[in-house]
Amino acid sequence: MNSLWVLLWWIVIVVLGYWVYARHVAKTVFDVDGGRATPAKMYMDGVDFMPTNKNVLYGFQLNSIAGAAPIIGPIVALQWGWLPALLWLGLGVFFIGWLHDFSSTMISIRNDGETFGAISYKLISPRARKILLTFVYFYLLLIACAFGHVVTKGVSGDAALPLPLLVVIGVAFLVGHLIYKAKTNIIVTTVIAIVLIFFSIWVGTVVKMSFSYNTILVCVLVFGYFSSILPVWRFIQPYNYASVYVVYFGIIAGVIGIIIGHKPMTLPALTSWSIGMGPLWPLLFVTIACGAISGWHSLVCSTATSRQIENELDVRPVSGGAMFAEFTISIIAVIVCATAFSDSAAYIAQVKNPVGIFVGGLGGAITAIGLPISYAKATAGMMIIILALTIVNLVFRFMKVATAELMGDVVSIAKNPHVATVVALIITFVLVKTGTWLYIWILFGGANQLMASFALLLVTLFLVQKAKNYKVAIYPMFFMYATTVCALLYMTFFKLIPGALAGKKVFGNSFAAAVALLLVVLALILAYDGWKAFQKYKSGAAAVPAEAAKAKA
Amino acid sequence: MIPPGNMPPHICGEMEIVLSWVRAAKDYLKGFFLYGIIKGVYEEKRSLHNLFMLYLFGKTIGFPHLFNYYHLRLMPLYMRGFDRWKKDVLRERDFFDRIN
Repeated sequence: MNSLWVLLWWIVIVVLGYWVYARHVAKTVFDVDGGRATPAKMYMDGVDFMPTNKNVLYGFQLNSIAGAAPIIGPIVALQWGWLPALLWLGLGVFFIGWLHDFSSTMISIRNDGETFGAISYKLISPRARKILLTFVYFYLLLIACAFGHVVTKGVSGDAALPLPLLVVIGVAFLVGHLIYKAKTNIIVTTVIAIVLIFFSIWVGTVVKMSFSYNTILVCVLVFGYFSSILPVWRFIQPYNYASVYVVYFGIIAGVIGIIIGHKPMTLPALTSWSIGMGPLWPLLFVTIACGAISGWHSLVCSTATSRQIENELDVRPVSGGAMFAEFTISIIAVIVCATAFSDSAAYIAQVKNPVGIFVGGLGGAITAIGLPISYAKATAGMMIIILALTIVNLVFRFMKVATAELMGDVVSIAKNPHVATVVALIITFVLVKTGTWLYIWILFGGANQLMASFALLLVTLFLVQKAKNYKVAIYPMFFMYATTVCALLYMTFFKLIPGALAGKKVFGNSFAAAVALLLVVLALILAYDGWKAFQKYKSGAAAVPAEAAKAKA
Repeated sequence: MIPPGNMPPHICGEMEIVLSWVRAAKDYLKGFFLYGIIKGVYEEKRSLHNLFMLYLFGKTIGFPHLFNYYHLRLMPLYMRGFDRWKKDVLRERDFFDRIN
């Protein structure tokens, strides 16, 4: 089948999903009102609460949520065939993904811009906030391991990437200094950064540098340490700014290349229900996370976005629209990879290195615009490494804060940022070295989707409390919850524990199994509390849960 | 060239639509590439402002940093914004606020 037919699927989903279904739900269920004051207008502190133009906010939202997951997930999921991947991407974003992002923003707006921690405290129970925080800590750990391996494997497996990556890091420090200290014009700074980065990609294809996996892993962790400790303006922010141009160029060049090349999909549409990794349900639905639905977005929407929306009518284009845009990135990833191989054996041989697969696929597509294949491949490699490294940077920073929040009262040294960061780095190192990456990716997907089901639980409780039609949220919530819990249990009892008992990567598999079981236990506790809260609101009891009212008193 | 005021209405309308799309694209690119840095600058500005306000009003909470003369000269200028600043500083923040 020609890959351009996939664009037809994309058009149908986006047009019907965004302009028909999303508009209908926003109007009838959430009753969006352009005249209602939003927290941005009510509080307007000029930093967190700041009414912002919807187009600016859309760009910022897309930059915040789009990472490497919408690319890597579909690459790994093609093991079941491209048809199930496309179906889950399309139907997932249509019924669940956009609704999750949109409703997360809406319930935060309707609760004075409060975060999910505060909303879960109010709507579910006081202990829900603590459970959520514990859950988020281990979720962040899985993210760090999953993406840490992607970066390490990608950079150590391609000799053209280390040099440009070093240059990008150096340019990040330079850009930070030029913008914040030297007060240089932003356009001049941008031009310098772009020229240096793109030139270094070319130099990297000529001057190749090979490093071992362990060396790169240590470098990634050192990089993570500085990302966590240094002020945001010194490194993370200029790094995100300078490197995003590579990503944008890769996406645009890739799309043009796909349209010009319009190659046929050479991988099979459907391989088998059950493959080496496991059965299609529940594993496909957690392997592809971002692109269909991602719990991470609810955290971004409920903290940053909801406080900058100036009009409720902007929520659908900003939150919902950005989710459809991320769906688009996943579609590009599916097309790029499904057209890159002559047969599925070649694909299966590389599936443990998704960077290699993506480099081959997108690199080949980019050559359609006239770039040499070596430069095209290096650009594609840098694109995905940059996306993954951006996430790794942020995750260690959040883990530092989460450690202080969780354990700071009990173990006072946990409040020390250096100690908290080093603890997170050590745990990440151990799990990356001793764990099986494919299993960790699925655990990450499971945790991510479980986070999404928690967000949908909050949305359901909010709608029940307001006597609105909660069915649009509760059915997706049940589906996500059941699928992710089953996926985590399947991985624990059919892959991780048997692997450990058979003597394969004993420590890594055992640790990963323990983390998975902990996440399931936390999910069950939260589900129980959520069920009690649901019963209370359904029967029309007090608007504020009794435990929260008592705790306040 | 026909002056804009003399253009037929349907062409003016179409130009307006095109210009609105160009403006939207500019805003989107600003949001995608620059908004993070803009927010970072605002946050730096806020933290410096907080430091200054704590220095200025430190006396009221038992930290007399500033000499009385400067304290008395500056305080009237910042009293108007004091309540709002206090609300902002004392607003409850949790871990999820840092995911921004």
